[in-house]
Amino acid sequence: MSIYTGNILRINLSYEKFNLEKLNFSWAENFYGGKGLGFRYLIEELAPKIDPLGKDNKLIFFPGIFSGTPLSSSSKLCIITKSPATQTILDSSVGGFLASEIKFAGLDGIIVEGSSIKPVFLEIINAEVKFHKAEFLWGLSTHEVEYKLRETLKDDNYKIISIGAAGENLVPYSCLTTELYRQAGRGGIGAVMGSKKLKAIAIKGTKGFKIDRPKEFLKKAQNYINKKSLNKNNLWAYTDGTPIIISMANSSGVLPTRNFQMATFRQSEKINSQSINQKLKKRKACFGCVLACGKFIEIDGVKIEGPEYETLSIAGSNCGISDLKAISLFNKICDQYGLDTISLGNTIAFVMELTERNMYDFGIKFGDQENYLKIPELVAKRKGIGEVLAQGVRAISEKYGGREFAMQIKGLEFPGYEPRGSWGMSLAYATSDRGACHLRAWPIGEEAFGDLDPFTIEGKAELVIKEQNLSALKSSIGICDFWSFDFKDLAKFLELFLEEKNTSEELFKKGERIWNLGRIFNLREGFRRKDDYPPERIFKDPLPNGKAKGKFIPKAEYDKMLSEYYNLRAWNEEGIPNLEKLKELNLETLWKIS
Amino acid sequence: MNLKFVKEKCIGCHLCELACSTTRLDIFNPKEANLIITYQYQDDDLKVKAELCNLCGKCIKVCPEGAISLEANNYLILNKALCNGCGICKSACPQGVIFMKDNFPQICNMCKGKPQCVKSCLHQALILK
Repeated sequence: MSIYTGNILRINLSYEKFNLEKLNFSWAENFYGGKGLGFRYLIEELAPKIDPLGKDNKLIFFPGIFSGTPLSSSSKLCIITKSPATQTILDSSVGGFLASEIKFAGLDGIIVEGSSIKPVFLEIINAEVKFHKAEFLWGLSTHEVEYKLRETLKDDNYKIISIGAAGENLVPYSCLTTELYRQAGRGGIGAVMGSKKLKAIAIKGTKGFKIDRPKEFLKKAQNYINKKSLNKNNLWAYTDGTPIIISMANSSGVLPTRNFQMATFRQSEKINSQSINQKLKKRKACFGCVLACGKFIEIDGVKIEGPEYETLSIAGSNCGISDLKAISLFNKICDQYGLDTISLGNTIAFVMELTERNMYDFGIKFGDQENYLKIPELVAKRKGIGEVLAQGVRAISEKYGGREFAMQIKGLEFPGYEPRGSWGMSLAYATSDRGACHLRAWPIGEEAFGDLDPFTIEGKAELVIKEQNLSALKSSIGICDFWSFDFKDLAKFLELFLEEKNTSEELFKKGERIWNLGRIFNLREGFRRKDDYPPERIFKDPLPNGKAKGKFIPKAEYDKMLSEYYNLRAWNEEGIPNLEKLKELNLETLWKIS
Repeated sequence: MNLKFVKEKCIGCHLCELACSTTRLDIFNPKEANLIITYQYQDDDLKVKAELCNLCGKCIKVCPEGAISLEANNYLILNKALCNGCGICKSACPQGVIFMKDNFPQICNMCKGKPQCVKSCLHQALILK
C-alpha cells in the first residue's frame, strides 16, 4: 500500500521560486520518511564542509509516513540540516500539527534552499507558495509571530513554525517553535533559518490525504489505539508526561545537579511531576495523538505548556534552581526567544561553575534565580555576557578554561542523564550522530531505571547499537518516542498498516542503514574516533552522593566499550565502516574508502 | 440521542474530525468534517470549543426543495435527488458544520446512528446522549 503523496515541494529563497517535484521512491523504499529519507536527500544535495549558516545549507521538513492518518503518535515532523552547533548532520523533530498539515497539503515533504537578503515568511497553501516580506515580524517572539500571522492571514487554520530573536541572531542553539510550546530544539536549526532570513512558515493544507481503503485503515487504527494506548507502556505520558523522570532520576542517582558535579538534588520534590500536576490546567495533544503529553499549567500567573524533564533537570537541578515558577518562567522566555533550554541550561550551569571556581567571574552562581532569569534575553539578543554565553559550552571552555567539565560532545550540550550512573549513556551520547543526545539510544531505561548493572561496560555496546538502529527507523517512520516498540512490534505494526512484511532482522538492517548514512555524512565532515568521547569529568570525578556514589567511568573501560561498539558495527578503529558493511547496506557509493 | 461535547475531557487530538472525513468522504481531511474542534492557544490561554450538529433542524426548514429530513432514529438525511445544491442549508447552519462538496451539502448524518467521531474519542469527550 502506498502511504506517499509522491510530491516534494522545493522552495528556493534566493530566487523566490518553488516547484513540485516527484518523491524519489527508491529512496523512500529504503528510508521511509522523516529522518532516514531526510538524511538521504541531504547527503545527496550538500557538498561536504559547507557553511551551515551559508546559502548552501538546506532545511528539509519531512513528516513521518503515517502523519495525517488516524494512527496515534505519528505526528512527528523531522527537520534535517547541517548543524551550526556541531557541524554534523542534524535531525531535530517536533510534534504539534505541522507534520499532518504537510500531508493535508498533498505533500510528502518540503525542502527549503538558498537564502533571502531581506526577512521573509512563507505562506504555503497546498503546493502554492507566497513569499511575503517579514520586516514587521523581525524581532518578534515566536508567540507573537503565531498570533500576528493568524491575524495577518485572517485564518486560524494556518500551522506556523517560527524563530525568535535567538535564531535571527544566529545563536548556535536556537530552535524552531510551533504551537507556542513545541520545539525542534537541538542543534541550532533556528540559526539555519535565521541565516536564510526566514522568520516563519505558515502552512495550510486543504486537499486532504488520500490512501487506498481509508475506512479499513481507520478501523484498524481505532482497534489498535484501543488496544495499545493508555496502557502500562504509555499511560505515564498522559498522566504525568516527562516530568515523571525527575523522581526516578533522583532516586537512581542520575539527576544532573550543579553542572554534573552531583547526581541527586535535595530539592527534587519541588520540581517533580506531582508538583507540576498540582498546577495542571489542561492536557494538550499533538495531531491525532491520544497520549496528550503536553501539560498546560499555571503557576502564580505564569502559564506555560511544560516544563519537560530536560528543562526541569538541565535548567533546574543542574543550575541549582528548585523554584518551579522560576524554571517555568525561564522555559517560557526561552520558548519565546527560540532557545534550546537544554543547551542554554548547560551553558548557564557551566559559567556558574567557572564563577564558583574563580576561573572567571560571570556574575552568576548556582541557585542565583534572579540573574538566571535575565540570561535568555541577553543570549538571544547577544547583549552583555549574553554574547559570550551565546557561543555554547564548548566555545566558552576553549576561551575561559574548564574543558574537563564542559559537558558537551561534538559541541552539543548534555541532556539530563548522568552517564556515571548509567555507563551505557556515555556511549549513547558520544556516538550519537548529532552530539550528546539522549534520543538516539536510551540505555538508562535498562540500566539505572531497569535491571541491567549500570556500572559496567559489559553488553552496553550491543545495547546502544540496537537502540540506535531502532530509533533511527522509528524517527524515519515517524513514530513518537513515547510509543514504545521493539523490532518485533515494529514488524507487526508495518505489516498491519503498511502491508509490508519485514522480519525483525530486516528492520534492524534498515535502521542500521540509516545510522551508517549519518555516520558517512559526519565522516565526510572529518569526524573520527577522537570526537566520540565525553569530557574528562566522566572519567575522573567520582560522584559524591546518591546511588552512584563514588562512581566514574575509567577511561580504559570507555575505550574498550567504544572499540567494541566500532567492531560490532563493522567500523574500523577510527569509526569508519568497512567496505563489506557498506556494500551490505548499499551505501558503498556514498563513502570513498581511502 | 444527540452528540455532546465534554469540554474538560477533550485533549485536542482532532481524531474525531479525521474519523468523520474518512467515513463520509474516504479522505483524511479534518477540514472536511461535520464537526469543528477548536483547541488552540489564544490570549495566553487555551481556547477549547466544539461545533457539532445538534439537530436544531434549521437546515430542514430552510431547504427550498425539502431535501433534508430527520429520520426516526434521530439523524439527518439528504435526498440527493431533490437537492439543487443551492447551499442555503450551509449558510443557515448556526454551528457552521455543513459544507459543500461536489455541489452537494455535507450534512452530519450521525453515521446513521453509529458516529465514528464518538468511536474515535478515547477520552470520551464526545458522547451520545
